Amino acid sequence: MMDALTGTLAVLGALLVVLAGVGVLRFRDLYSRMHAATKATTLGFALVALAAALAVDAGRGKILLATVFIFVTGPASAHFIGRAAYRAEGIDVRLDGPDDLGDLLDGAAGSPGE
Amino acid sequence: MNRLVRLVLLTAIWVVLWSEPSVANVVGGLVVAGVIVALFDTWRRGPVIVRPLAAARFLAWFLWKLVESNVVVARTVVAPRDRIRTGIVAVPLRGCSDAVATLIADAISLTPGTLTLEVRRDPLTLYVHALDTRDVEQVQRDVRTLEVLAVRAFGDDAALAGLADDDTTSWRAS
Amino acid sequence: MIALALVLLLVAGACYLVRLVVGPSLADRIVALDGLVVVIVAAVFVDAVRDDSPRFLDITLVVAMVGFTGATAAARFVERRGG
Repeated sequence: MMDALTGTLAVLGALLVVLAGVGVLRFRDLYSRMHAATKATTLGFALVALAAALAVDAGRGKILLATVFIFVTGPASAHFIGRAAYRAEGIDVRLDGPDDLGDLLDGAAGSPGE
Repeated sequence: MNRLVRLVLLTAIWVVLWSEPSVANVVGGLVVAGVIVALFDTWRRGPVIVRPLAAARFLAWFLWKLVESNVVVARTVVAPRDRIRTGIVAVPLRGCSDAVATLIADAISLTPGTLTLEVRRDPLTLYVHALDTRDVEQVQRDVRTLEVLAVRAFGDDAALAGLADDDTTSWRAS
Repeated sequence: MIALALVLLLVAGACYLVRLVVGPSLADRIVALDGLVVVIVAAVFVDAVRDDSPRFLDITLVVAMVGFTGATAAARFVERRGG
């Protein structure tokens, strides 16, 4: 019973992580890939961690610690990378819709951007 | 009070890392945590406020959105990409402490179709990358709902008062 | 079930690895590496269940920390030098 539960959780989580991986492979630009990477990995990872925490006899504390750490740092590093990529030159940031950040930075620099 | 909480937290982490709550580990942890707390006073930005009920509400809403965002991403991965119209949307917020702003920005990155790219102060504005910007106001509404929930759970009195002035968003709205 | 989860994580790791090699920009590689860290940590968790021993769990803490600081440092690099 317990094995079935943890097994299902682990497989479900791993499935989400795979989906995120496929998204990272298939999506057409950096930001879309980051959407897949930050969201789907985080929940998938949480499910795997939950399964592991239920199933192991020792080391629950470490699993919890690593999970909390990844939950806190995942969005933070995504923010760093996204911010840096926007400012860096030569990265394909394709936007179909509005670009309020570009307007802001252009206004500050006084130069026309993309 | 703040320091005591940090001391206990750091000691707990130390004991977890040694994976055994023996006397030596607890004492060693207390010494190390004491040195760290004394040397690095990084949490000077005001007291930590937690309103349990509102925090639970925030957590529940956040977890629900996390599941929803995974469904959205999964659907976008599997199905054709006709839903995608990416863009960057500026979302002005009502103003809150740095810690709460960080929490909001983090939560946005984990909710459906949005990713925080930039945070500006005076006035507090988040620049959010969204997968679907066909309805810009919807994106802004979602972020504001998150702000209301976060401020109610962890905001200081000034931020709460700011909400009361202009409280058009119900936390039930999603 | 446990074996299936491990195989799935392997597939996910392969996806990120391809993105890591293909790029095209440095930022893409950082995203891939960041994702790979999560996959590795998850795989070690599952392996701890399969093995019924916590001996490799310390790795997850170190990998997660190094992964985060590495991604942050690399992001700074991208911001200054371009990707």
